[in-house]
Amino acid sequence: MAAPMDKVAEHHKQKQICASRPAYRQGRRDRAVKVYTVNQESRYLLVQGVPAIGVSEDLVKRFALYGAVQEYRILHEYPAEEFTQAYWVKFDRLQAARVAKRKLDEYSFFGGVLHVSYAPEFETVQDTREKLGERRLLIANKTRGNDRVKQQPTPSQQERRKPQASTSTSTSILQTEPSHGTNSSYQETFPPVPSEVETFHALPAPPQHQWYHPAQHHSQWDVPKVASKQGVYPLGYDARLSVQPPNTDQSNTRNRTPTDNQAEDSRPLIGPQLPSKDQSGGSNEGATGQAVIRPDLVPRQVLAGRKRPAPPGFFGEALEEEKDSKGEDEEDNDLQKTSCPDTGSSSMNRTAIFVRQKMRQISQTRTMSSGGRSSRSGSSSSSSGSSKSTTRRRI
Amino acid sequence: MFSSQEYLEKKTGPSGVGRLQYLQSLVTEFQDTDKEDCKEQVLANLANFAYDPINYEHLRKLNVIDMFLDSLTEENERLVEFGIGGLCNLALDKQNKEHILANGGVDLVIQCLSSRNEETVLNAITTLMFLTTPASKPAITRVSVVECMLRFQLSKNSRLSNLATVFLEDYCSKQQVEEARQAQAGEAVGITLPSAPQET
Repeated sequence: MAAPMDKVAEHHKQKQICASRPAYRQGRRDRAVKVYTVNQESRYLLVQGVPAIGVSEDLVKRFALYGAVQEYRILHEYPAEEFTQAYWVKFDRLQAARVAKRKLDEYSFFGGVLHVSYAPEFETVQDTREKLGERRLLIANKTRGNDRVKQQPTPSQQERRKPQASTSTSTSILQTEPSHGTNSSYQETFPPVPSEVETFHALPAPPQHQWYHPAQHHSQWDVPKVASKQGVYPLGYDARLSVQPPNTDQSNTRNRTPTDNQAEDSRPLIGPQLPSKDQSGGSNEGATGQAVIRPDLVPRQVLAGRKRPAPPGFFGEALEEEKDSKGEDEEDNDLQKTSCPDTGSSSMNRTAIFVRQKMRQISQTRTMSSGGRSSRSGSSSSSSGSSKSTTRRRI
Repeated sequence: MFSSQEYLEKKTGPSGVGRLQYLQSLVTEFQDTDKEDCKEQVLANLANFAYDPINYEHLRKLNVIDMFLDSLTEENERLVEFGIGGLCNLALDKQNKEHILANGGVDLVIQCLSSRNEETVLNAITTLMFLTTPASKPAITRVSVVECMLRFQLSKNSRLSNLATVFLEDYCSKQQVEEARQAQAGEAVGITLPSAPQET
């Protein structure tokens, strides 16, 4: 959408600086006498006086300091001084264009002085509409704040009317009817400010919302809210507010299979991808791989050293007659109650356990000299193969 | 875009002239001076102050809105231009709007539509848009105004035609536009150029 370029528009021309201002109102910079309204301003800028020495990129970079530049062109047919060019720059936002114009007008650039002016003639109808709408919103936002703060000078009636109008103008950008019909509904939702408050204009309004208190909504699996909506927890970070202590019932712990443990611990966890944990039920480490202090957990090594009656099935061959009834549990009991370190493979574990049991029996037969024991040992040796098979009933 | 109170205080410093006082001295100069260019300068200065809502309270207190309205009837075209510019900047605030409407601002602004100055006309169209309320809408969208906008829409000046299009599309009902078109078609005189529109 190009404006006719044969005649330079008036607002592109640089006006004469006013020299006759009295000192008290002479600003820091010399300026012409000019009024800027929303109509004069635009996202589109015209930059004249750019030296024609191939500085496009530098120029655009300079402008882009103040905001995103959507587009730019060199206007070859625009009447320009010798050795200078005129550029057409389109900003993403009006505010950026305003700042750029203020800062870069009369700016010395590669030996030439830039003359930056707005170019609203390049706007489309929609651009103009949006520009006016933005101005409306800005004023509505600004004046809404003013009305609430300044309660003293204005009577309470006007207070109520002003916020209504400004909120309604902010919501309806183009419909310029600050619908007076909504008066009553607004008053219903926001009760009028009592007259006593007028004397304390500095006090903020009482809170009307129940803000989120992290301490209150606290379930075990509640994830604390991240400050930003786009926030992501780093990998491996445990965001749980509290970690569920393990089930202190010993038998339950031991009866669980490793797969059960993993499933139960990882299922309700709403959090980042956790490193896979070691599959031993009595592990001291928590589900995260980080050391989590669980006072109820005691290392297996300590347990094994305690003087306790051996749990059933600990000595596989010694309690052979009970194997049938406890076949299911035995396997797990063997794996989890023995003091041998976990090698990571169940078959290796079983082998290690069997070997250790064997060693214990041998040491027992040596210490004992009774026939019962020897018969047992005999039976043990003969039944070693069968015990091996029975203890390994569950494959 | 706008100044905040802290920024103003920082800029003036502890012994500087405050904003209200400065505006007061501007208004005083405007009333006391005889020189035309001083009046123009002061009026333009005030109109630019009217851009920032932080000044609205001060401007209301100093009756600057009335000053702008009065300047619309001046002979000096620049005074009219700056006055309508100031009104355009002010008109979106609710209180200012009420004040302008209460003091017959609509008619004064509509008169500006027939100015020869491009900026005056553009600011006048925008001011009419900003002044639209359910109460003022019938006056603002009367047939003569809509006719005028239809003419502006055909102008080669894209700023003018854009604003006229926005006015017709967003602030007038289709019925009103139709009425105006028919009224225009019935006129003996052809479509006049916007540079010298003669409003009835």
